[in-house]
Order: sequence, then structure tokens, then C-alpha cells
Amino acid sequence: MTTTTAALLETESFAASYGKIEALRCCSLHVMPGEAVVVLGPNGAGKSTLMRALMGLVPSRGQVRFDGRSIENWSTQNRAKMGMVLVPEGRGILGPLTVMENLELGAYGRYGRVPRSNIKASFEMVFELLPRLEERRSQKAGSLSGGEQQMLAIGRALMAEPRLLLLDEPSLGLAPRVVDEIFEMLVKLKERGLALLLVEQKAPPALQIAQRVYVLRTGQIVAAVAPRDTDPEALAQLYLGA
Amino acid sequence: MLAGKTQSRLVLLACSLVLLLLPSMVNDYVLSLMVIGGIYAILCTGLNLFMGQTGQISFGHNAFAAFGCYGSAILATIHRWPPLLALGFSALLASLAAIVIGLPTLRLRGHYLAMATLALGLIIYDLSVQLDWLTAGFLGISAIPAIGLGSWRLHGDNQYYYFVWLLVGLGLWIYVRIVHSRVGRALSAIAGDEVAARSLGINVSRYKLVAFVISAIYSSVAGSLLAHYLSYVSPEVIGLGMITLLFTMLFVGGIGTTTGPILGAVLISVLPSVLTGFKDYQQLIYGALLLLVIMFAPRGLYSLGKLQHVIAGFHR
Repeated sequence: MTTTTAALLETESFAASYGKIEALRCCSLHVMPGEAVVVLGPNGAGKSTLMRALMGLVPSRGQVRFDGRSIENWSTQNRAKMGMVLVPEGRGILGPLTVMENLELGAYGRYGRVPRSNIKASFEMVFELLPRLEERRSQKAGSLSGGEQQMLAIGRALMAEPRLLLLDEPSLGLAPRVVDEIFEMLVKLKERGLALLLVEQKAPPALQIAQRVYVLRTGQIVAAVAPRDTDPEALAQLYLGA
Repeated sequence: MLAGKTQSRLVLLACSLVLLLLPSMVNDYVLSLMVIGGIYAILCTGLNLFMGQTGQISFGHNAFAAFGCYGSAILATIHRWPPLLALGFSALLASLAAIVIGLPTLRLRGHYLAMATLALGLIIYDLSVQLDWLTAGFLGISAIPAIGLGSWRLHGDNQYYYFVWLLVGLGLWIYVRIVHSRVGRALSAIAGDEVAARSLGINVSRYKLVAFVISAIYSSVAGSLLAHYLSYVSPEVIGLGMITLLFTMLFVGGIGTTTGPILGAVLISVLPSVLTGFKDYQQLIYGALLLLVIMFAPRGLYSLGKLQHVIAGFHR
């Protein structure tokens, strides 16, 4: 897919494999600044591999550019420092630590690089966006509900002051009401100008915030559509491969 | 109910007082067990940083204790170095070895890391047997001088006791400082979820190596102390038995807790002597007690202290 030079994230012929098993083939996608892009796909399509490969957690081939710079050989921590932050599948919350300690970890790469006042401002921003975390700031993260843990995972990622937030199935294992709450918060983040790239199995909530949708099937992007211009049934057929 | 911090300080003060007054209350035999317990407490505190705090596994820390044991023995006995200098130099060698060994092996995880570290311990044990021109093989090295610097030397169990437990306190203080620092948070993150830690920009490989090296230094210092205290070292001292002992101490005391491993080290050092009265049934009772601890306090004896808070909570 051809992209503009202004893309925040851009991949070309991007592939990833686990040993001899190729989990992702020839993926080309892009995310513009402030844009919300959704990658839809059934279980086993390669969505999590895509996220992990973009973060450098899985060996990959092909080109990846972030803010115009080639980052194929960059380590995960350097990608995070550049502003690409992943909210992993399963949330990766540290149960024995408190909510505050988890959030502090989010700002890990910023300590010593930015004034402490900036980090304090990030705490305030996270608590404003997710007031429930402030109420539970001294509580052990392991004792939070599933929805609260997802909020904490997102809040922790925000502490890194990302320019692009990668979310791996944020709705996984959550009740419909909680999923709505999470997506309402993602809308707020988008309105603040944060670029989002999320992979999802559940199409309806994701489509509400997406400006562009890629459909991933058996490790390949089979379609790139704008949800506003696409008939839901046609999208369902692309998703299911019918 | 006292606030958590005040209560912890009171407990710490009480423990310090007991440790301070203990030599006047017990005989030399018990004191010698407490010295050995203190040395193992240093080893366990280091291993706890790598295993409890960072969530890694090592069956090979006896190798780093061997660096301390044999380093001190060879330098202080054969080359007549001042024992404290020998201890420091051995720790330096152990830390360099930990870097060289850790760089390739810490890429492994779980069972694979366990096997690699087990192999390390076995190799070092084998070297201590085979390099008899250096280590005197199974005969071992004897007449290792007592800890000291210049003309000053430690004399008797009483002085060793205070010296070793001062080092336990120092080791614990450093451990606590690390755990509550940014490095400690990073180690917790690695223990919790490596993928999440990497995604947050934490250099996982570097911090694993840092924890490995620090724990190797603790092991080496403890190994040196053991050699100087026993004035003898042989391959048996640093064999697989040491690893079994360390794991028992860690898990009985409470892995990942601050003072649990110290509690475990003292208890496991003293327990066999307490059970000698049971003669032929000594091992049976020892095993049964360990089983009871694992069954009823799976997070170690340290967690029993927390149990009191839970019970108090029910009565409120």
C-alpha cells in the first residue's frame, strides 16, 4: 500500500516468523498522526504477532518506519523511548505492586531524561482520564477487576508519553459494559491527538473509533477499508473469508 | 494497631537486640551454627535478588560461592594475600565471571536457564576436583587464615559472629535499597511480565545481568567467609548439596520476601542440630517438618507473620 511521507508508522513487506513458521507475511500498513487504525482478524490471524513484531519483540523482516526513521534494527526499549508503546495482550499488570508503582513503571524510560514536573503532569493527566485509578492508587494491582486492570495497563502506557499507542485486544475477557467504557476512553485519547493502532477480534466497538481498518487473515492483510464507506456485511465477509 | 512501618521497625529493633545479646546467652556450638547461618543468609539474600525479585532461576550459584571459597583460599593461603583483600578480589573475579557467563545464558528462560545454571555449578565443581595443582582436588586446601587485614585478625566464634552478622545487616540494607530503587522496580517488572517490561522501555537483558552479577558478588563474599571461618575448603563444600541447601533455605524462609531467606538460612542451619536427639529418625523428622512448612506456609515461614495480621483483621 502506498503511503504519504507524513505517516507516523509505516510498514512495507513486513513479515515475522517463529522459527520456520511464518506467522505474518508481506504486511504493509500505515498510521497517520492522530489517527485510529484497527486491525481486525479472527483468532490465529497473526494480530498479536503483528503487534509484537512492530515492537521488536519478535524477529521480523521488511521495512518499518516510525516518524520517517527506519527502526527495523532498533531494540524494543528504543522504540518505546521514541514513542511507540504497547499495551500487551493479557495486560501485563504487575499484581504485587500498587497502582501507583505500576504507573511509575510506565514512566521508566523518562526518569532522568525529562524534568520530574513532566512526569507529575503525566500522573495528573492519567488520573483525570481514569479517575478510578486515582481512587485505587494504593491498592495492589492484582486486586483490581479485569476492567480496572485494562485501564491501568493503558494508564501505564500513557505514562510513557507515547505518540503511538499499540493495543493488543483491549476488550479481551471483559464484560460488554466495561468494553464500552474502555472504548469511550480510547475515543478521548484520539481526540487528544494520540495515534492508536489496535488489533481486535470484536469488530463492533473497534469500528466505532476506527478511521481505517485492515483485515488480517492467516498472516496476511487481505483488505484495507474505511469503515464509513464500507457495508458491514461486506466487512464481515472479508473478516470471515466467506 | 501500630502502623506497618513502625511495627516493622520495632520488629527489626527487637531482632537486632536479640542478635546483639545472643553470644552471652548461648554456648560456642550454637554460636558457630549462627555464624554458618549468617554466611548462608548472605548467600540467600543475593540469590533472592535474582530469583525472588527478578523471577529468574539459578541452580548454579554454588559456582560463584566457589569463586569466593577457592579465591580466598588460594590467595590468602598460598599467595599470602591479606584475607580481606583476597575476599574483595575473589568477589571481583566472581562478578566478571557472572558477566561472561550471564551474557549468553540469561537469554534462556525457565527450565532452560535452570539447566544452563545447573551445568555451570557442575562444571565448577568438576574443575575444583580436576585442577588439583590449583585446588588440591578432593584433599582441599586447609590452614586458611582467619579474616583480617594487616596484623588484625578475627579470633573465635564470638568475633566471627558479630562480623558475619554485621555483613548480613549490610547485605540486607543494600538489598532493600536496590529493591526500592528504580532498578528494583525494573526487576519486579521483569519478574511480573517480561514482554510488558520490554514494552515499557526496560532493558530486560541488562537488568537481568545486573541482578545476576550482584547475586554472584553476594555468593562470592559468603563463599570467602565460609572458607576463612572453616579454615578449610574442598569440592564437597561447594557441591550440589550447597544448592539443595540454598533452595531449602529460600523456600522455607519465603522467597521474594525481604527477611524470609535470612530466617530460612538460620533455621535450616540450626535445625539438624536441634533434631540430633531423634537419632535414626532425624532425617525423617527433618523431611516431615519441611513438608509441613511447604504445605501450610507455601510462601514460607515469613508469611506466618502476615497470618497474624489476617487473624487480627478477623477479630476487629
